[in-house]
Amino acid sequence: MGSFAEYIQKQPMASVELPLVHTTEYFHLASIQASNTLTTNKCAIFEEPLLYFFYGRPAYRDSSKTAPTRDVGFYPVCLVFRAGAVSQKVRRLYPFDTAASQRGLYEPAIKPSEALASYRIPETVESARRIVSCFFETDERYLSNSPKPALQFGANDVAAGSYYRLITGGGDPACDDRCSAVEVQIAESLDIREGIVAIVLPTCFLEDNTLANTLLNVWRAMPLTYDADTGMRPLEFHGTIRYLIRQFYRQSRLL
Amino acid sequence: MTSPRRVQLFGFVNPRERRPAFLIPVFGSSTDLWIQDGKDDGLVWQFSPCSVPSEKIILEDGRNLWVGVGDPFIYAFQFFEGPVEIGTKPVIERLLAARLSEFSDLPFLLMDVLKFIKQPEALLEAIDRAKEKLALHNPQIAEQWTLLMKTTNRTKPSVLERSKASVAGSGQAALVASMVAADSALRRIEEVQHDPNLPVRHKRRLVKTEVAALIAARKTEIEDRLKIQQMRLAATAEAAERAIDIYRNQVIYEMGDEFYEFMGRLGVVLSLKDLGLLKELDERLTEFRRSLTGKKIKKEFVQAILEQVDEAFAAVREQLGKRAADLIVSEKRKDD
Repeated sequence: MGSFAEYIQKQPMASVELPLVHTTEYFHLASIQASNTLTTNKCAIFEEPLLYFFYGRPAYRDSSKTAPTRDVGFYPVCLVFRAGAVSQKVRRLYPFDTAASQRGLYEPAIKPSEALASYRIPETVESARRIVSCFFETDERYLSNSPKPALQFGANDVAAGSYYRLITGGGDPACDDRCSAVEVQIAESLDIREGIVAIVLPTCFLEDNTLANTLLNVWRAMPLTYDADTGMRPLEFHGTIRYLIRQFYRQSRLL
Repeated sequence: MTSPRRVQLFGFVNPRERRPAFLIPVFGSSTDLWIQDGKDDGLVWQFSPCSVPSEKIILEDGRNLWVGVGDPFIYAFQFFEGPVEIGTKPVIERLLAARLSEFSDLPFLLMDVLKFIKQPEALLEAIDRAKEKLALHNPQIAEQWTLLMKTTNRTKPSVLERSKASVAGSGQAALVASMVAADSALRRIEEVQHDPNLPVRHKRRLVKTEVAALIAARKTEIEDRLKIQQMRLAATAEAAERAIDIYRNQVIYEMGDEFYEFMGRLGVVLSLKDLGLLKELDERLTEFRRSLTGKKIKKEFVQAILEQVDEAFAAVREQLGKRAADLIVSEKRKDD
């Protein structure tokens, strides 16, 4: 029987490489700014220091917790990187948020005991592009979490079939779209200046002259800003941030 | 963790750590912190957990304030001097509107305040002042940010900016054109909304027509930009398949974004996806595509399929128009 990784390797790649997005709490921004570095944190699941990114999507993952944190409370900050800046450092790659997999949120489609061993895929960004092409067809559809309809799998592709079942609603009702967000782990700290292209943050943060100088002059990152009121409400800011990032991708001719 | 139904105000967080600023009211206790969560209707839908380092919390003492699900949202603001001002949206709006001059040197905060107090007409000037500040660090990024802000904050660009956009490429020119069309539709809808002489039923019909027409115009514009019309004219099965692929993979998502943004401007957060229409439309388009695949078929059949595609879009347009009208013109707003 073929593994999920083998199945993915046989698929064509999406034509464009999307950026990688790291989402964090607003109060980490000062230390990130001071050091120009994203630092790893001990991951409770993989038991080593890791940094988490998601391919193309602004999803949140706190490496210090085994339970998936539903949301950043308020004022999330998303750092958007050229995939090439990170690709040489990738430690592991999964087709979903691994934290949710360990909480049973992907059951009945995928059991926690199978998730980490059976769904690890080759540690290259090309694997993410193959997942997009195979299960979503296009980047737009991947970003909107709209899988291809009515995919069929052979008897040898049980793992791929289970993943498809998961992303088309076969997980726990509490499972959100992180079940189809390609997770990229790196095991070393990252110099932000090496490849950041944009940062999502509250508009009012740009009032801080030192921060604005770091973002625009040192990092040369495009600020994608949202208003204070929206940033206070998780029910609202997810849609707004996804919209801002999609607009940025379109402006950058990635979509 | 179960979201509580009712919680006591515990303190505030000032994410900017400078004054003046909007503060975030936090509820519960130091080990069990919650924030209000809701949509644009101004009511608390639920409480969401949040984690903030304890040293970042400005403790509240003296006010024994409880907030529950269904209550109006509580906002907090702190000016340069004085205590934390706390109240419902109308209370904070009034305070901010009366002291707007205090934000003249803080254009980014001013943008937030102007949106909060719903004075979008002054937003353009604030964005331009913010751009000047950003340009000191990086003029090129400042220019891009301004274009993005003016697009997403729905203010009309100047003639110069429009010409810059059209030089920048057909994609951005189309974006600006759609923005202007949306501005006009928005103005007409607001006039309809506030016309005291129009009965509710009539208002709804007019709003529905405006929204449906805007969506139709947007679709035509995207079709032109993506050269779908040429594919349709070719009327071969291959060209029709390519056209349907573009509809499935690009047009419906751009329309969804456009609709989300437009409704947001009218104070309603609702997307095509929320309504499940995106999925339905995608499924129908997939069926149409399947009916063309691998067949040698006559032009008439291809054209008939493409007409059915148009009908599917028209049905969605009508449903969106109706849904928008129901939300924008509610019975409650009859007396507006």
